[in-house]
Amino acid sequence: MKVELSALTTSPQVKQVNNAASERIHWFWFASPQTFYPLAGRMVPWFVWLAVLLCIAGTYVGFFIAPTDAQQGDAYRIIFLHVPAAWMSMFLYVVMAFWAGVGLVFNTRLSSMLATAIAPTGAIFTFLALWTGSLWGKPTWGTWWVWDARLTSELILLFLYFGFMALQAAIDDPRRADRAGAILALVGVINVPIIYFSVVWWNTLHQGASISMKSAPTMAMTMLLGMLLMALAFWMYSLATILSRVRSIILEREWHTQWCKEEIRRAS
Amino acid sequence: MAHSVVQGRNSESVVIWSSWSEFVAMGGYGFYVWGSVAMVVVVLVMEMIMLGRRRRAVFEKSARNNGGGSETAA
Repeated sequence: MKVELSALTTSPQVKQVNNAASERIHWFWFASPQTFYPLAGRMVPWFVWLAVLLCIAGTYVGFFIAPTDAQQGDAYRIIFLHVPAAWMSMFLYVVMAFWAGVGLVFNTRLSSMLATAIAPTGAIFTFLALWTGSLWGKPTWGTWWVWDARLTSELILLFLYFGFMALQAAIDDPRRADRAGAILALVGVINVPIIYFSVVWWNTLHQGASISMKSAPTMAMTMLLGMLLMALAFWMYSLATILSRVRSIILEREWHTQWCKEEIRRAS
Repeated sequence: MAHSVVQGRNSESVVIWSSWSEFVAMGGYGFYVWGSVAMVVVVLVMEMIMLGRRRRAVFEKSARNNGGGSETAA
């Protein structure tokens, strides 16, 4: 029996299986807060610098290269903040719901912490999309606000972010807060396609999509470039703030562990 | 709006602003454009300040909680 077992473990097939298993485990190496924490710390400065550089480039293109719009004059320049903020507000919600869902299904606490870390940044970009949209609507539509499909569904997105944060803050046990928040986040995902397609499905005051996958770009190339640069800048900013926030959340939740105590002692 | 954009001029380099005051005026839309820019800057700077505060708060709280207890544990 003993001989058989040893023969089995040394057989090439078993070795292959073992290797495959260890490789698969390697994938989850950074799923542990302890290993993810220093990795996130190393990434934050890179994303900060990328955000700064892209923001400078995007502002330069948007305010000094892109021509004045024939119909809207220079009011259209709000697009360089409004569209990237609106994209991030929707994108971050989907990412938040994804990680909340992963945390719910696989019970991986880092995924849930990531979802919690995304919510405030997502809410901020939703607010900025609404604010800049309002300031754009006044000179072009003649009103700060209308209850049309696009604006209303974006406002609901803001309330979904607030609801997620309030629900998590109201529950003392972090793991229970994770699960409750995940269900709210997943149910709320339905709102994202509603926001995106609202300008197609309903007659709204809001103009159609600025960029379409189906047709050639209808904007001047420099306008498009400015918008994409600012979108990338917001993306890098979001990565930096979310990774920085998740580091704080890890320490807040796991401060009692030995490695956190050592990290806190080392850093302070 | 997408259809109203001036297309022809983007190949040649056009000087858009002839003076700083013209840049600030934004063709009469200065209030709306700079109101948007200002809010983005204010909110994002505020977020970064709050992130720093949150991090410091973790250190302070854990220093209070441990209060030398970590030495006895080690």
